[in-house]
Amino acid sequence: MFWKTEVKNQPERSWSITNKLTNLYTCAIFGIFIIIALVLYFLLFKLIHTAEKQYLIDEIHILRTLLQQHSSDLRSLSQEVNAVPAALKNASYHYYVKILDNQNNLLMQTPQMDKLHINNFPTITNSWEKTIHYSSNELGQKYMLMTGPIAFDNRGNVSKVAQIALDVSFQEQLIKKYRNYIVILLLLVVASTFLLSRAITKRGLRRLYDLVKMTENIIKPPFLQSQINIIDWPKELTPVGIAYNNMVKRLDDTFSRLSHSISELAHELRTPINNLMGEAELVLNKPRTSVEYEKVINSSLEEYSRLSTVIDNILFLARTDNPSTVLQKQKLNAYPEISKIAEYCELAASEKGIEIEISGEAEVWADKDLFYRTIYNLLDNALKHCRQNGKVLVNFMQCNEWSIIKIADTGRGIEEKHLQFIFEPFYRIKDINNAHEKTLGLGLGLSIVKSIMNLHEGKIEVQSEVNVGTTFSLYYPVVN
Amino acid sequence: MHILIVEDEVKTANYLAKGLTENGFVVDIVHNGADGLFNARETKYDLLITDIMLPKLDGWAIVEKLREEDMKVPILILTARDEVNERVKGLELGADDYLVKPFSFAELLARVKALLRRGTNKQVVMIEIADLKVNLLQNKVQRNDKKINLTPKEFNLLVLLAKSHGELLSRTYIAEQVWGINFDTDTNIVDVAIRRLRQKIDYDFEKKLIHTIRGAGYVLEDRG
Repeated sequence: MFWKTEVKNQPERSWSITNKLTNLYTCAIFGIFIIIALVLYFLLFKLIHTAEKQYLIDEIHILRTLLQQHSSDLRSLSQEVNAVPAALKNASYHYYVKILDNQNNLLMQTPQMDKLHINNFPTITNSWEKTIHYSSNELGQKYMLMTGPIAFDNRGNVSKVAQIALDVSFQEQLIKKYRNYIVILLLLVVASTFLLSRAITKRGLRRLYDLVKMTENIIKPPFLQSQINIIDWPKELTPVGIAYNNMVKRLDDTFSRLSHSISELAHELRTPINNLMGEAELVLNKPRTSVEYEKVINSSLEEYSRLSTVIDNILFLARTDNPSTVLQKQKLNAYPEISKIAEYCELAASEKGIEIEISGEAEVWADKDLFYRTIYNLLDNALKHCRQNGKVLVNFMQCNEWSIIKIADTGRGIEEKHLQFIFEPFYRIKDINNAHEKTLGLGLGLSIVKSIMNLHEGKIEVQSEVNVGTTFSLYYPVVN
Repeated sequence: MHILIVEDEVKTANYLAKGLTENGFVVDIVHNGADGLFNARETKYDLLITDIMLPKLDGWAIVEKLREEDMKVPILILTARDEVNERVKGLELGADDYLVKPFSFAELLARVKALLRRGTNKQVVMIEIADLKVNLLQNKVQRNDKKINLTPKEFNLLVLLAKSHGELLSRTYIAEQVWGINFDTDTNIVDVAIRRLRQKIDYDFEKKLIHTIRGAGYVLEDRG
């Protein structure tokens, strides 16, 4: 009735914090890693490529220098053209050279050159240093091709050119391997980031899980047992922990008050029902005169109206206890309104020889019906506890932001130990001298007054001195 | 006087009908809102008593529809819920009175009679019951030609009892009509007021006019 124990499943699309954080971390690391890997990859690629190109250019310059030194004797090149592959067998660069004249006639070439079937050497231009072609064969070998001038005639025109093919297969392999390593590494990094961040997040959220578990546990009172020790809690969660503890404490208070009220209520209902049952049973035991039946029915009516009053008051209290109750607030002039209630109570007062005195001036912003009930309850209370021929003083005043109404009686007073409880529902001070409990009412009057004052955002205070009297002070906030 | 009761709780409907019939009314009962609206449209009733929570059509809707159609039949709403807002809502929609369950039958009867009287609106100047004379214009009370002095509240109380003489008035109803206290109070106060009125009206005379109905309330009548 008060607690819903069923737990609604989370909507399917909502992710847990752990999953969310893990995924975000993983994505971030993945992104950073990809960028680093790409940069490194392209740097490597660029370095290798530049080195290769430079190698080709250098080679052409070597050929040209050789030719110049040997006054264009082609034989001087033969060592460079033929011996190189053999000499550099174990080196990382293998190259093949072809020497042509300006008519494209072959003058000289590395022996294995024709086996390579390379025919897309770039044609010679002024920017030959920048012109690079590639060729690859069916064996998977890749060549970097460059054509460069190595001799010039008298007019400065190119007379001989060298076509060089550099075997770059090894470097290509290297780059390919490097690429594969990167991919493998990437997978490893993603997987380990995922697992690590998951573990870290779980550890970081441990207190949160604690809180969740605690919250799940608060199904059964007493709630005070589920207070959390927040001393070693992280800073971010401490306020939650404190709020949680406060909530638990309030729940505990409310629940114990509630169960106390319910048992009091049940008790309150039990007495009249017991009377009703007993009387009805008894009267049906044997035939009776109609006068006797009538007597029982009349007595029943009294019990029914007692039950009805209990229910009315409980309902009223429940309603005023609900903070969403809408008030029909209006400005009330205290004197005439209170006099109206006092006039009604005066009948009861004069029976006990009590005098009700009203004085002061104040305007009160309140719901009229609830205001009447508040004043009535307090007056009624004062009259019940006032001595024979005593006095009840009602005094009101305007004091800054409060309209204050004080209702004082010259009664027996309330002992200090009772004072903090008198606003609790059904709280009645057992009085040995006053045996007829019925005149003391249900013990709901002051609770009702208190919840009405709460609804009005006001407050109620009580001062009491044994054998002198009790004063209740109502504080209504002034509305501008 | 013809009254329609719209109430889905059969036991309640039956005891209301029984009580009203015994008090001289002709009563029809229906158990759901749709029938209630249909009957109220078809027959000219003097009063409609309706619950709020009803099958098919609720009490609010009945009041609203009838008032839209300009039917002026007085309507008394019965309900187990007495939220202040609901009371206001009911009266705003055009209901004439509002009674919260549980209520005493005496109270219902008093309200029914008050609602039915409201229509006739006859200006009464003098009420005479046996040898009691109440002059409403001059606020004077006589018994057996002997003048009786009453306080204003006592006079109001006597007028209330005298105007509905022969009718049982509950303490709650009396507190509401005379002092404007419309919430449950310690009704001993009404008893005190009645006792004082009795001292002045009945004490010195052989024929007693104010009678206590135990567990229900008070009635002023000439019992011969």
